[in-house]
Formats: sequence, C-alpha cells, structure tokens
Amino acid sequence: MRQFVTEKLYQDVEGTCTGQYGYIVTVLALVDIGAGTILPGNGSAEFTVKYSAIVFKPFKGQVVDGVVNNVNKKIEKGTYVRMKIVGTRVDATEIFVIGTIKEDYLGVIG
Amino acid sequence: MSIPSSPSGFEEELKSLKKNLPKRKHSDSDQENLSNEQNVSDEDIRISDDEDYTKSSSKANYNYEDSESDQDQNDPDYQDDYRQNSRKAASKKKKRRTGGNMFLDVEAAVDSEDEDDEEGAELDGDFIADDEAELAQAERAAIRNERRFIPSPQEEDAEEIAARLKDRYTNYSTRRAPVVSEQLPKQFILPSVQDPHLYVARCLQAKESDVVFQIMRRYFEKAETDNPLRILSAYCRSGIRGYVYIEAMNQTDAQLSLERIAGLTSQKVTLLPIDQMLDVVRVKKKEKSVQPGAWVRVKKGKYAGDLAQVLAVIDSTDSAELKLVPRIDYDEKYTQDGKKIKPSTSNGQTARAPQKLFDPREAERIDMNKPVIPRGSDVFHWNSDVYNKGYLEKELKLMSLQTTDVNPTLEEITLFSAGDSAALIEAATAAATISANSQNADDNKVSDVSIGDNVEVIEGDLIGISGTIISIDNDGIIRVRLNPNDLNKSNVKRQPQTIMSFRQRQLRKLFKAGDHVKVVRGKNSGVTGSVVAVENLIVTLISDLSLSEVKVFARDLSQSKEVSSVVSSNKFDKNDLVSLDGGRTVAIVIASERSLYKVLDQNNELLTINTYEATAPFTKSNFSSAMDSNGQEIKKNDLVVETTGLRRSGTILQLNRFVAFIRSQNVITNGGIFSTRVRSLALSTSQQNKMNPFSNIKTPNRNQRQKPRGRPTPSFRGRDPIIGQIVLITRGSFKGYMGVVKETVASMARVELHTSARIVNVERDKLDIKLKDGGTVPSATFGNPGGDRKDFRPNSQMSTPNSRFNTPAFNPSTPGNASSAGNSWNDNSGSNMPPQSPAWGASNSSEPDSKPWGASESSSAGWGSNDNSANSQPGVPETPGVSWDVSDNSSNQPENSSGWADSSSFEDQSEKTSFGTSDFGNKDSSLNSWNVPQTPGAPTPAPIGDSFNELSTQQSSNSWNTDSTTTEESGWGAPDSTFNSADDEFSQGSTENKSSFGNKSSGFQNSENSWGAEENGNTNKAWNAGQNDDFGSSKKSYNDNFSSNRDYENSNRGGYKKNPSNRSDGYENYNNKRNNDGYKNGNDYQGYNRNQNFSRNNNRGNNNSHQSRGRNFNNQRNSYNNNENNFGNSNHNDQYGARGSNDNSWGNTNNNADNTESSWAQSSANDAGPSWGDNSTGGTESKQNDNSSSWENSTAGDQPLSKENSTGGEQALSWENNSTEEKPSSWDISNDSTTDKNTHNSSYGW
Repeated sequence: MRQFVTEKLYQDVEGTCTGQYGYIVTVLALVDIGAGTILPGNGSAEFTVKYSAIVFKPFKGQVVDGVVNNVNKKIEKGTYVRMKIVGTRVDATEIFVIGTIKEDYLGVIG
Repeated sequence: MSIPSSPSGFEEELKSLKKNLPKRKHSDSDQENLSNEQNVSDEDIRISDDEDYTKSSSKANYNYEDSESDQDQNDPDYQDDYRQNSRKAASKKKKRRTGGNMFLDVEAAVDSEDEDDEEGAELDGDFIADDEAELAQAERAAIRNERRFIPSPQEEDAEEIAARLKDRYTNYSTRRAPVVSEQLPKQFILPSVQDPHLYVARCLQAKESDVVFQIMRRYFEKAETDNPLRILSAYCRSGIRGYVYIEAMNQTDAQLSLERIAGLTSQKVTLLPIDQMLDVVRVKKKEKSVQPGAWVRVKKGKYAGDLAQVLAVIDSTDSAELKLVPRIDYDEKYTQDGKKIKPSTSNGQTARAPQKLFDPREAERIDMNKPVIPRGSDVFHWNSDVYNKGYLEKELKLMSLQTTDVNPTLEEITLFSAGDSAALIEAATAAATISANSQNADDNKVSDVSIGDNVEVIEGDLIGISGTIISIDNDGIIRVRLNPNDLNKSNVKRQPQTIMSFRQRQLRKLFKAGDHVKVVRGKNSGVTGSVVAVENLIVTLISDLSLSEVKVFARDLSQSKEVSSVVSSNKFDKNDLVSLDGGRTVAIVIASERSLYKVLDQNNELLTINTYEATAPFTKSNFSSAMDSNGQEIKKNDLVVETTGLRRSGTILQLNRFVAFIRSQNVITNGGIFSTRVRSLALSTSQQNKMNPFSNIKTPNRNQRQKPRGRPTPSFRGRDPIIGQIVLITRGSFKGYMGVVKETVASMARVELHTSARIVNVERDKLDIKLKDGGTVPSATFGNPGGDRKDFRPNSQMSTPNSRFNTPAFNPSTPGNASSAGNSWNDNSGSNMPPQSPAWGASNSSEPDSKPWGASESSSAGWGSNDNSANSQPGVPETPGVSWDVSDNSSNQPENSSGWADSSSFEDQSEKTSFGTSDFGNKDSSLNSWNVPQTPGAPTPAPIGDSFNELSTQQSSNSWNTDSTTTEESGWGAPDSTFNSADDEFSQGSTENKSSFGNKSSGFQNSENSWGAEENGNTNKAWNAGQNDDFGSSKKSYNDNFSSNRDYENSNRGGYKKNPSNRSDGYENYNNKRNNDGYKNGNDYQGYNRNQNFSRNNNRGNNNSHQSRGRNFNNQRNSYNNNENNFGNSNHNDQYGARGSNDNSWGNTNNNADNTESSWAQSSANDAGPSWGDNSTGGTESKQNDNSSSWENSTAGDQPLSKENSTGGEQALSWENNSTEEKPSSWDISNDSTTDKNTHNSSYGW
C-alpha cells in the first residue's frame, strides 16, 4: 500500500506546478501518509500525504538561465541565455516570467 | 403724414429731443397727437420692437450694450456682430425718429442713452443718474399722455398699447436694474415672433456684399423721402454664399428693399424660420490656434481622414502647412487623350492610392512631363507639391482640418516616424501630448486614471518624479503620493512633502517592465499582458493569451491583476461550445483573443486554435440535453457528479449528446472546466431517489416491477411518454383544466392549457392522462418503459385494470423479491401466511366449485389424459382421476392418495426427471414441506413423493410449498378451490379472489372485466379463457396486450384445464402473441399478467423471478411454441410453481427432455400441485376435501370441466369449445409430451 501511494505520489506530483510553491522538481521524501478515507459511493480511497520536495519558483530579480524557445528577433532559437526576471505572473498551474538580458553579465551564455 | 426730419447728427438731435421732450409733449396738441397717432403708433411699435431687438430689452430684459462688457470677454465676435447690427438699426431708427413725437421722444431718449453708453463709458455714472431722473419724469408724462389716448381705441388697438406699455416698462426696469440683465441666460434673448423677421434673398455668389451695399445706399437715399425703406438691417455672411439676409417686420418691406437691386438671382424673399435666425448670425468659435507639431486630420480631398502633422500655421491665409504621408498612384493610367483613368474599386468608388512615402524615381516614371525637381537633400518638387524626406508638405486651409479629437493611433504615428524609433517616440509623445491637452481642455475632468496607478510628473518643478495616485477629487485634482526615493534624488530639500496634488495633464502613467497591465482603450482594448519594455510613452507588452507583442500608449493602459480571457469580439464567447474538425470534435472556449481561441476539447485537451477553425456546433447548445447514467435528462446548469473516476461534481456549462463540459470548484486546471462523457454523469439532485429503490413505492406499477431486477432501468428512455398527451389536472389551482403536456422536468410537467393557451407548471402526479377512448389514467401509471407502452396504449382501458391488478399482484412478490422467488413465496406464506392463506383460502372458499381447478385438474386430468395417453393409457380422463387419487393417497388422504398416486405416478414419471434435472437443489425446504406432508402420507408414494414432492416442493416449495406447507391447505386448496370455484362461480371466485388474493381476484376481475369489455361474447370465454377458454380468448387476448395478460392467466388455467384440447390452439396463439410481446416487452409485465392469471403462479413466479412469467408464457409458449425458452425461464420458474410448471409442463412436454422434465415436473407439480398441495398440506382434511372436490372436479375434471364450464355458462361454452376444438391438437401435443413423460417416467422407475 505504501509503495503504491508513493508511486502514485511521484506520478501525480512531480513535474507539476502549483501557484503557491512553484514547479515541483522532485519529491524527496514522504513525511507521512495519512489514514486513508474511502470515498463514499466509490471504491477508491484518499490519502493525505505529506512530503518534501524540491521546488522551483522564480522570483523577481532572480537571475536564471534558459534556452530560447521562441524568437522575435536577433536571438536564435536554442540559444542559452541568462536573464534577470523582471516580472512574474502566476497562474494556478503555470508561472510566466518576464526576463531581461539588458544588464551587465546577462545575455547569451555558453 | 409728415414725419419731421432733421438730418442733423444723432447727438444733436438726441440732445435737442431730450431737452424738448417735456415741453413738446405738453405743447403738442391733442389734435396733433391724434393726427399723428396712427402713423406714429405704427412706427413706434416697430421702433420699439427694433429696440427690443437691438437691446433685446423687451422680454428678455436684456441689453446688449449693458452686457457688452461681459459678453465681450466671452464672445466678442458675437457681440461685435450684434453691435454692428444694432448700430445699423439704430442709425436707421434715429433717422426715422427725427420727426419726433412724444412717443418717439421717450424712446429716443432711451435710445440716445444707448448711444451714449456706447460712446463714452466715463460719462456713464452721472449720465445714467440724470437720465434716470429725467426718464422717470418723462415716463410719468408719457403715461399721462397715454391715458389720454386710451379712450380712442379705434386708432390703436389694445394689443399695441399693451405691447408698448410692456416695452416701455421693461425697458425702464432694465435700466433700473442693469445687474439683473447681466445675469440673464442667453436663451431669453432669442428672437420671438414679435421681433423683426429675417428674410432671405438669393443673389449671385460673391455678390452678397454688393447687394448689401446697394441696399444700404438705397436705404439712405430713401430715408428722408416719404417712402423710406422699412427694413432694419441687411447683411450677408461670408461663409454663406449666395444669400443675403434682410431684417424687416414683414415680407413686403423686405421685398421692397430689393427692388431693382443688381446681383439678385431672384426677387423673391423667403422668411427664415425663427429657430434658424440664430444660426445665421452665430459666430463660430474661433478655431483654436493650431500649433506647429500638432496632429490634425484632413477633412476632405484625397487625404480625407488622414493624419497630418502641422508644420507651420500661416495666419494670413488661414491655412497651415502640413506634413502628410502622400498617396500617390504611381501606376496611374491615362487614356489616349491624356485623361487620367481613376482606379475604382468594385463598388464603383474611386480607390485611393495607399499611403506611401514619396519615391522620386517612381514619380518620374509616371509622366515625363512632370519632372521631379530636387531642392536640396531629400526635398523634391514634383507636380507642384513639395516632398520632404518622402513626406508631402502641403498647405491646407484650416477650415478643412480637424483639429480636435484627432486621437492618432500608434500605427498612424508610426508612419510618420519612418521606422525611426526615436522619431516615433518623438511623434508619439507629441501626439500624446496634443491629445492629452485636448482631452484636458477641461481641467476638471479626470479620465483614464484610477487610484493606485503609478504616475510620473511631466510638468512643473517635480518633473520626472514618480508616485502613486491615492485619490482623485471631483474638481480634477489628483493627489499623488510621491516616491520618496525620487524625491531625494531631485533637488527638493528637507523632508519633502510626499503627497501632492496635480492635474491630470501634469501626470502620465508610468509602467515598468514586468508589470501586469490591461489595455483599456484602442484596438487592443481588453488585452492583458506583462510589460516587457517601456519607451517613454509607448509600452510594449506580451499578451497573456497569444504571447504576442503589443505596443500601446501608456495612457491606454492600466495596472491589472486579472488575466483576461475574452479580448475581442470573436464569433464565440467564452464558454461557448464550438466544433472542430468539421464536427468531429467538440470543445468549449476557454479564452479568446484576436483570431485565437483557447479551447478545451472533449478529451480534456487544451488547444489553441485559430478562429476560423471553430465552427458552431450543430445543435443549439442552449437547448441541448442528454441522458445521464441513470437515464435522467440533464441540461445546462444542472448539478452533476461523475459516477466514475474522480467523482468530480460541478455545474454543466455546455453539453451535447455525448460530452458535457463541467465547471467544478475543485478543479484548478483550465479554469475549473473539464469535459466528460455524459454517460458517466449522474444528476446530483436525483441521487436520493435513484439510490433508494423503495422511495417510489407509492407509484404502483413501473417501479415495483423494476425493482426486482435490481438494475437501474431508466425510468424513461427517450421521450417522456406523457409528453404530448392530453391531460386533466386533478388537483391544485388548475384542477379541472385540460391541456397538453409540452415538456416534463423531473416531477414537473409543463402543461399548455386548452382554455387559455397558457403553459403552466403542474406536478406530474396531479395529472391524469386522458386516453383516446375517454378514460383517464394517472400520469404515474401511464406509459411503461420499453416497448410495452405502445402496446398498452390502444387498450389503455384494459391496461389500467391490468396495471391495477398487477400492482397488487406484485405486492406479495415484492417482498419476495429480496429473496429468491421461492423464498418470497415462502416468506409470503410464512409472514403473510394468514392473509395469504385466507386469500388462498378465500379463493378456495370462493371457488369451492373447483371447477377451474377442476379444469386445471382436468387439465391435469388432461395431463393425466396426456399422461395416460402418453403412458398409453386409454382411460385418459380417468387416469388423472386416478392419479389424483393416488396423489391423494400419497398425501394420506384417500382422494389425495389416489390423486397422489396418480400424480405421483404421473409426476414421478416426468417430474422426477424434471426434478432431478432442474429444481432439486432448490427445493430442499420445499421438499421438506412437501416431504413432510407426504412422508407421513404414503410410503410407497414416498419415493414418488420424493421425486414428486421434490418437484412439487421445488415449485411449490418455493412458491407453492411455502404456501402449501404453511397454508398449504389454503394455498393449494385455494388454487384448487379457486380453480374449482372459478369454474363454478367465476364471478365469485374472481371477486373473492380479489378480496382474498387481491391480486388474483383483481386479476380475475380484471380479466373478466377486460374480457368482458373487450369481448362480451368472450367474457365467458374470457373467463373460460381465463380458465378454459383462455385459448380462444387468449388468442384474442393476445391481440390485446392487456387481455393477453389476462389471457395468460386465464390461459394458464385454461391451459390447465383445457390443456389437451385448448392448449394447442390457445397456446399457439398465446405463444405467438404473447411470447413475442411478453418476451419482448419484458417478462415482468406480461409475466406479471400471466402470473396474475396464475395469480398464484404469478406470485410464485414473481417471487421466483420474472422468468416465472416467462415460464408462464413459455409454458404456454413452450408447450406450444418455445419450449426451450420456457425452460430457460422455467429453471427459475420451477420454483414457481406448479401451475407455471403446468404450463411449462405443457410446453415442456412438447419441448426437450430437460425442459420437459422441468416442465414436466412443474406440470406435474402443477397438476399434482393442487392436488399435492391439498394432499400435502397440513390442511389435509380441508384440502383433502378440496382436493377431493378438486379431484372430483378434476376427475370429473376433463369431463366435468366441460360440465363445470357448462355450469359456469361462460366457461362451459368456452370449455366445450375448447375441449372440442382443441383436444386433438392438444392431444397431439400432449401425446408428445406424454410420450416424453412416459419415457421419463419409464426411465424413472415407473
């Protein structure tokens, strides 16, 4: 059972993004698996699982590296760039950031 | 008439007039006054009116001269204009007035003062004071004089006097209270009908002023003659060509003034409507001076609507030099004679060349005759135009420019920047500034900013400092909390004040990269996005939806946290259903931006599509509905829950027949919307009802029938059967109304009333369905699931009774349903034994005749006969008797033994086999019961008994046995008795049955009724049919579903009784019809009916299962048609019972060995059953008696049946018929069966 819950957790949670915590990169450990609750009228059960994970949440002012995915001008697609985040927009399931390369030490890297 | 004239100057004249005024007035003789009166009064009025106009003093109490100083500021032109007019008029007046008369004098005095006012303000104070004193005096004198004139009304009519008085006094008061006049609103000075009129004359264009001068000249020429021009003014407007305006009191005067004036195109003058007078003299507000650098729009010509930038303003010509993006058609085509061919669009309009910067080479190419002359760098002269850096520099009249509300767009300005971003910014800034200025011409208005906006100061000492708006006052003051960091940077010293007030023009909105903003105005209005760049006034943002760049003015933006999902007016709105891939996919619009949709498709996949990919779904989404997993109708906005998977619940946003899009609070993706199959949804609101099978127990038929299945049969498949039916409202405020059901929702029906064509909501159970034959049925019982309904309808009458009795019939079964049929039976018998037993007993008692039974027995006898025949016993009828006796014997009772014996023998033969095969496992208990009675009974029969018992037990045990065991007597006896009694007293039996059995009886009754109803002649038959005649009747009954049900019942009996003969026919008939129907329709119903016919059987059958019915059917059928089927059914049925089995037996016999066995067993059981039951049951004696009787009957059975029938009358007929007719066929069948049986029997051990 524990095995299953663990697997399920990995499966469901890793790689997702919550607005609150950011992207869940990997689950480190399960802290606690709560008592299961069987859903009425349905055979399945619900477990509250506490776990620790590595998350990635971008913040304003942070300098991050990235790969150019979509290009307006000048930069080539696939270029590695280092940018500073100037703005973020957080949705329930994704995070948008606006970055700038118009500062010292920013721009194309590698 | 003489008007004294003195051509001296105004002043002189006025002064002299003033001085002479009192004297003259007094010195003037009455005669003079009188003699002058007419003329004077005429003139006076006019002049006074004229004064009114010029001074606007009459009604309006307004004086131009007085208000001049004020007015001048606001509207100098207007004032000037008027002043000129008034001067002109005044000069005319004064000339006229020189003759002087007392009235004129008074007026003249007033008038002169006006002149004084005009000329010397410095004298004003003293003069007015004097004047006022003098005036008062003069006024008094005038009044006195006037009094003298009053008695001569023939010369001056009252109105004129009134007008004059009024004029004078208003004048007077005006003088007295000049302050008031200043305050008067403008509308009070509008001309009225009493004022001079304005007449329009047409003249040659550009000759207007000539005409006016001519008129003026003539006026002066004639002024001193006897026939002066009686016009007040003549003028023309520079902007209005070809018209001259003449102010006069009447048209004749105006006409006269135009005599022999050159330049006129027409001598006719037309009156200018009063409401247009003002427009003629209105002076346009002077165009705001256009500053170089401003943006304007061209009003007409090739560049109409185009944006232009002012390079310079040339005051002398009222024109401006503009910078335009040229529209040159470089592909101009010329006809052979050198004329231009204008390119035209499809609709015939001349197409404009697109805006494009000047290209000298291209231009030169057009026409060699028009050289491009370079004038310095980037400046060309071509075709009489100057092009600078590609832009056209052109001089245009200010008149043809639109200088306000220009609102240049970023695109237009971009054209002017020629791709130079610096220039663009400069241009944009200019545009923004200009538009901001024009916007804020009224400083008290604040637009486009809201509290919380970040702003930057762009004017004044604090320029460049940013802050946040904290409040906006009504008077246009914006209070801004300045950013202290900025303040520190600036040179403001010491603890700067952090909150300051600004006007909007001093601020501009400030955005930083990363801000989330929304476009509030312009083409991209509604777009939200993140700011990626700010260049002065232009902000670049990335749209949230399309992730495309958008450039907008900062003033068109506002800070926003929201993420807009609908931006432009696309065809589909958010949450609309669209179909993609030509209808293969449905999707719901989650967001839409220009030319893009974000949709969630039926597979829960998020897609971004172009608008042209989405088409409207085929069905109107507003009206679509679907069936959920329970067969309930679900619609938009219904609350539903998933029945599988995550069990998410939510509200249906959109659905079609297969897919529903649901918004759930608990889903975070896609805005809480997910899609799912309709079939995996359940209506939340109806959950309870659905979960509890007994919640609808009130509703008689349908639900009960369904319940035994334990499967959630949709209550309605497809259309609600009551839709479209004519109904009678039985309760509530609309009680007694008739109408048509238009629509149904859950328990409500929308009924369109016949009377008023209104549609009202009525609860379903308040409706009675009106049937075609005039009867009514409660809506709850109307319509059945599956195909039955249709069948029912025609015979609705019949059906009703059926349904009625079905219901009761069911009751016993219902409890039984929980357990197996046998159990139910047992239960019934056990728990309900008393009632049932009485019921049975009742039936028995009621049917002491046991004729039906007898019949059945006789059928058994028939069986016996069959058996006999099968057994190759010639004494067929007797054999049954014997068999019965045997059975009786076995049951310890002589008759019984005999019957038993026979039965045993019989049944042993077949039943054993059947038993062994089919039901044995089941009937342990029954066996017990059976066995118990039997075991005590006869040892020898015991083995048979065993087998038989078992058989019987099985059947009976389940159904019968219980009955028999507990109340076997009653039960069995009952059946027997019932049968018997039925024969004898059918009516009684039926009635009693009803009472006792309820179901049975009802069934009987029903059958009777139905039968009777259907076929009077058949009623007997029906009964008979029920018993004997069933066949014949059954056939008929077959036709009628209802009847068929009954028939079934009947037929069962009849089959029993008449099996040999009737069966063949009846059965066949039955089989055909019923089988089909019954089967198809569902065993329940027909089975029911049949069961009911069997009622006991039915009960058993019900208890056991539906199949029992099936058996019954099958039995009949089997016997006739489908043995196998029956058998299949019969397996379960076996429990049911004897009768069923009887039927079965019949069928069985016909059918395969297995089947036959079971059937046999049943049949035998049946046959035996009754006898058995009687025998076996504890109520041995009574039963025995019954049995005996039954036996007798039975023994008489076949024969007696006929007798009984005959006695019964109805039955008799049928019987006779049946017997006679059918015997052969039945015989054959029976023979077959018997042979089978025999084989079995033989095999078994007989």
